[in-house]
Amino acid sequence: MTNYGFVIDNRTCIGCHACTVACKSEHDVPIGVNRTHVKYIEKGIFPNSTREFSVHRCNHCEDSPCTTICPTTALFNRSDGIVDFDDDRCIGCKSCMQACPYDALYIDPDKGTAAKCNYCAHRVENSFEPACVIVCPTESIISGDLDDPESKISQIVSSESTTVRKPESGAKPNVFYVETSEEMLRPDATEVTGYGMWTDQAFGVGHFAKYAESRLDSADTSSMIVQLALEKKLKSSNSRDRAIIRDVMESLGDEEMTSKRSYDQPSKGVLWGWEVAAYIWTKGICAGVYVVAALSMLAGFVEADSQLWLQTIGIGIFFLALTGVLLVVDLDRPERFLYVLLRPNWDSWLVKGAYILALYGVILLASALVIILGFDLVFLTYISIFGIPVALMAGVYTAWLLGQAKGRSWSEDTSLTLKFLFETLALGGAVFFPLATMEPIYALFGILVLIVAWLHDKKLVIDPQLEALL
Amino acid sequence: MSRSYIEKIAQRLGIIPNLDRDNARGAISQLRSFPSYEEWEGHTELDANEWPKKVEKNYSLVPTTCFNCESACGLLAYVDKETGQVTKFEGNPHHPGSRGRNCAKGPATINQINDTERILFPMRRTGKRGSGEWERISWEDALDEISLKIRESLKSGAKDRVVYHVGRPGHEGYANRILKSWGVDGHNSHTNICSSGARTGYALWQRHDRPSPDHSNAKVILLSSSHLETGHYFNPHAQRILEGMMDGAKLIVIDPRLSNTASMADHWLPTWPGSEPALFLAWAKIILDMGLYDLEFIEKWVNWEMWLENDHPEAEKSVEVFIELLKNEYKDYTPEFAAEECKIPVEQVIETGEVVARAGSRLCTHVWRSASIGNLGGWQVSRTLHLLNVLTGSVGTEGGTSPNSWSKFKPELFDVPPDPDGWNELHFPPEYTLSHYEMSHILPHLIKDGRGSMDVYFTRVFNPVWTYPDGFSWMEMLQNENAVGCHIALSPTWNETAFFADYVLPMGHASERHDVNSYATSSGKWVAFRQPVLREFARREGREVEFTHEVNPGEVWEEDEFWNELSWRIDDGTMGIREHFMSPYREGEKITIDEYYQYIFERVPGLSEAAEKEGVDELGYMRKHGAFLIEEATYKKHEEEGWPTPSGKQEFFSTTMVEFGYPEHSIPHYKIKSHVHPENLTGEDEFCLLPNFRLPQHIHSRSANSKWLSEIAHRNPIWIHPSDAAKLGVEEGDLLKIETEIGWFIDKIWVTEGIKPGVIGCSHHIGRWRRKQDQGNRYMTNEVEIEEIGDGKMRMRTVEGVRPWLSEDPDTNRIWWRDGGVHQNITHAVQPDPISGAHCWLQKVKLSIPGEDEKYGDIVVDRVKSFRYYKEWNLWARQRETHPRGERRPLWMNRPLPPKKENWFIEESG
Repeated sequence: MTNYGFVIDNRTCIGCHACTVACKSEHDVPIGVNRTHVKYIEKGIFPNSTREFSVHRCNHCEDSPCTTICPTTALFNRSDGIVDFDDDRCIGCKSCMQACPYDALYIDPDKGTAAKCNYCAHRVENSFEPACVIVCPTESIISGDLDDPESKISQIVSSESTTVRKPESGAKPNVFYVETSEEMLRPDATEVTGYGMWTDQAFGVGHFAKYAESRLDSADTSSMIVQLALEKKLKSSNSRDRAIIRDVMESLGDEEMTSKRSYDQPSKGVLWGWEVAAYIWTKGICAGVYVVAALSMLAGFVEADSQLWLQTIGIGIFFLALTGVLLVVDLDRPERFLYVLLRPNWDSWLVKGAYILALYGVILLASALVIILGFDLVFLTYISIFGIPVALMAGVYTAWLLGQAKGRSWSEDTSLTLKFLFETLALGGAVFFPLATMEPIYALFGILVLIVAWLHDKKLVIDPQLEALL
Repeated sequence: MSRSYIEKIAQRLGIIPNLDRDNARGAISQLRSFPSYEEWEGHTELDANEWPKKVEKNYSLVPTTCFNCESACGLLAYVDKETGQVTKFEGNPHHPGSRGRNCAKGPATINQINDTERILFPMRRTGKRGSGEWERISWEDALDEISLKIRESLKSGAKDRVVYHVGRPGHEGYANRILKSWGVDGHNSHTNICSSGARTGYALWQRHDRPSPDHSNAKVILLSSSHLETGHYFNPHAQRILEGMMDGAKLIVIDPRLSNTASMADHWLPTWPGSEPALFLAWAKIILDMGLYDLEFIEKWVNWEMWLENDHPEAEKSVEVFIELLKNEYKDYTPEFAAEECKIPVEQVIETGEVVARAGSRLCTHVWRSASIGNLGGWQVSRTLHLLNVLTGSVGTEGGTSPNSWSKFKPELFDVPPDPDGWNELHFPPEYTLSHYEMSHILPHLIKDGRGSMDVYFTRVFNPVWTYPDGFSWMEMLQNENAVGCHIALSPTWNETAFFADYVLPMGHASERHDVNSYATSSGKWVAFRQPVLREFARREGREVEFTHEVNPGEVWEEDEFWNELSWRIDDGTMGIREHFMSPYREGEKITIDEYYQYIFERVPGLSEAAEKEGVDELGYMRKHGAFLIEEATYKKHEEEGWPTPSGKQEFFSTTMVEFGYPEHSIPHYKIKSHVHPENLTGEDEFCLLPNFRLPQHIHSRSANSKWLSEIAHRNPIWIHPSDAAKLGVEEGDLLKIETEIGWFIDKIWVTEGIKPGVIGCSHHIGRWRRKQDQGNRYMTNEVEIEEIGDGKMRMRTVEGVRPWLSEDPDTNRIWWRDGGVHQNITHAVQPDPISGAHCWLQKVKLSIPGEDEKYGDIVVDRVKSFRYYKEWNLWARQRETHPRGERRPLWMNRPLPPKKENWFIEESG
């Protein structure tokens, strides 16, 4: 069985970026994004300071989280070990970018679809090596079959001491580094500042760029002073501003850092923005209101009332529709949203969640029909036997989706399921009880809960995306 | 890929498009690097962007060489047979220097070809010089008008008023032949801000003025350079340095800055700039004391006897005595002395000295620019470095360091016109008797000093307004029509110098021109062919092309054909120029470009046989392969040829230095302290600015129109050590005012442990600009405003940084960086070394916090000061000006485009 991988030999890599450019040339990669790039760090105190280079790209993982989470199998594992992609299938949901522990993917600004190193599969098809391998002046990128003991790559992996990036990710990466340092491999070991020894990033690319353009327009001058000021705006409390200038996250604390990141690829920005936070919120409401309503009326806290039911279902349907709209709007290829349902990757919680939402929608519609057609309210109780677990899953499944998005810290949060459960019920209660009691105090409390939940959802979604990935 | 039922049904029902694909088959054999040579004229690849849809594209692969630095690495242009355009460049596996691999600048060539702002047509100015108003003209008009101006100048009898000033030659002897046909001593170059310092040191020893280290076979690689990231010859050398290292060679790097090269070194010695000769002499002493010198080599090949005769006439004429006397001569170059001068630990001096001493015949050394071009007396650096090779017996050996000329092929040209009968004193002023190459960087100052002027001035891939020190003086000269009658800029792109031209003529890039290349990239000798690939493609498709501009984008041409046509037109039939452009194959006909190269390639040893085997002529062979290996290895050529010096040996003792008024420099010593020696930096706020270190992905001012290179590197902050930053009270990203002898600039800082305290660094290549009226290179150029602010002072302010713009290329609208750096070069004073003539790049600077209204990117230069400063340095040369036997300069030493013998003598006045 062929198993392609790379060895990056840092004994010979001179950090020249020939690979970066050869790859751009081979795939006509747009400005601002990279399929492969060279990270530079400096460490130590003069005259014992040194600089290190490390070539980073897709690791063609054996247990790739990106292919697990991709709703449409736009990303897929080949039998020869290459993780390839078909951009005609991609809907631009960016889950892959959240799932990849190695920040290997990007959204193509022309196509709105995900892309990454695909081992130059189009060249491999004709038995040629990837473009980066042949250009390298010092032959520091070695490609080949890891399962062939005669191959150069196997010989290096078996005879030299090699490391991989983030082995704890569980993804089983197939890019092996000969001689690399911990400071290089650990993303949080060096400060991420948005500028380096030769670069500045006045604005982001991709998802930053849309937001950044409006910021530029609102500045009345584009002189370099303004840019400098923007860069220096470390104290800004606006999380989008901080995201733009890549401020250091709290996780780095006040540690004295002797390593410094001197060059890195431009940041891709916050990929799941307010739309995703909002959909979690609207989904929590639409699921929670039904659950809380059903439970309350079943348990007898609240008198079952067709008017109340209709209002509840109405709110449920409204917020479910809003959830749907937000999900679609967040896609970079929104016109392909049906692919989630019609080209399903059953492993992905995006797909399972979409079907759950669809099922929940059916339940809400059926419940609405019961009332509109004047059937006995007891049918609503029968429906709720399925409806409550489905609604609960609708509210909670995002925790499992985030669990698959292994590139970010939320995937390590074991209490996410409970958090989402709690939030679903809280949001549901925040909307249902004011509705049921018509009392101002409940409305006040409800609004408070809605606001707190919204702030929490924003933080939950945005903050982990600001942490250094590389 | 098996699809779910839902997808299959949905596709069948037409709800979603059918995306079923043929499964990829994967590789059928072990992965290969390059298509085999037989496939080159019909190579099929799958379209990367359509993948996993399998869409075939058919290519014709045409070899050429890269034009981005001097290495001329091999490139294979992929010409899409359907569109007839080049879609990408890969390496040429047949090229013995680059062996199929390239640095980032090689593949980036496609950006430069497709640059939406490149100059496509000949342009002539309509407004005043520098006003930015241009009109398109035809090549016919350009040739007619320019040839007339040249004819006028030639007919006046002047031999030095038509000048070709070249930045990157990229060819072998083409332009020199042209100038000879016109009869002018009119060649000027950039060497004097590049390698003149190092060349002088080497030339004093052996006339050959550049080293060619055999890195792959070295035991010790000693670089006073940064050849793992830049320089001559970056890619080919980097390959071989790492080969050597993986085979056990130790890498020693000398640099006050932590270059990428230094970060790979076994020993990084951050010496104080200019102190390197002290270090090398201390090592020479170690070699002598440890007895690790090659006595046989010294005895046979070094002119030690002349030293004994001159300095120790009473001593016995034996090499053993020489060694003893030499030990005494160098007794003060102790490790402690070196450690003190260099400001590095004495243990390090000793440890690395012993490493060097034990290298024996496998010592590779290299200095091209760095300390030799940075410092006053920098030529001492190469002279003392080469001494180490002489002592260890590693000159010309396997794993050692040979002269570059041994592995450089010199083409034989079809016609060699006589040497010019004149002497250009703007290029070789009398007071610079030993200058290596032309005094190019003081051209404006000499002209301002009333020492001459030019009728016709070609700047060719040459951008002094930007690259050179004191660019405002260049602007002043170029805008003065009395100083420069007609200025023609030959370039593939717009640049700051072209803004001040009368004609801007677009010349082709790597895949759009003819050149022959041969460089000393290892011990092997090779020749390579740069060709307009679409012309070769046309020929393969059976189409004849007369002139290269027919196939290039727009009407982009090439110098070779342009010079031929121009020269033809200069001659009105009476001037004897045309006779140098007659075909060697067709009686009475004008030579064609193909014939020019066929003649050269016919005479490459071994090429005819190789061509015959393939059933093609020699030119045909080079068109197909792009390169040819002439000799596998060229070691120890001195055993056949000797050394081309007056003594026939390696000149430890230089009679020339004595005769030309510098007896104190008769032998290698450390007698001149750098102008940035710590003794000269007394103030708390005084630092040494290292302004010319280079980046792996840029090449002077030629790469700014490559989007992929510009995206990686576009700003040049000041590298400063944290202790210095703290002393000055500045933090990361803060602004500093850097004051030179003649002006100042404001830049941001980059705090780093990668620079020696007391030294600050600012990279080359960056800080490009254009004024409102100018065009081009918007990936890297800031928009600036330039104004005279009185008393000869000029100010430049940045109006706007780099901005995206709309064009046919969507990438131009995606530019995510705004900072285009700061143009520091223009604030540098010219500092001509009186002996080598080299511009000493390092600048003594004062650092301070900028004032209230001093903004990032602000620049002020005082031209009165810069002229006065030039006069001070010039005086040093005048004070020691000596012409033995009336010689302007040593007759035995090389100079480009050497005139007839009679002109080498200064006329006695009166």
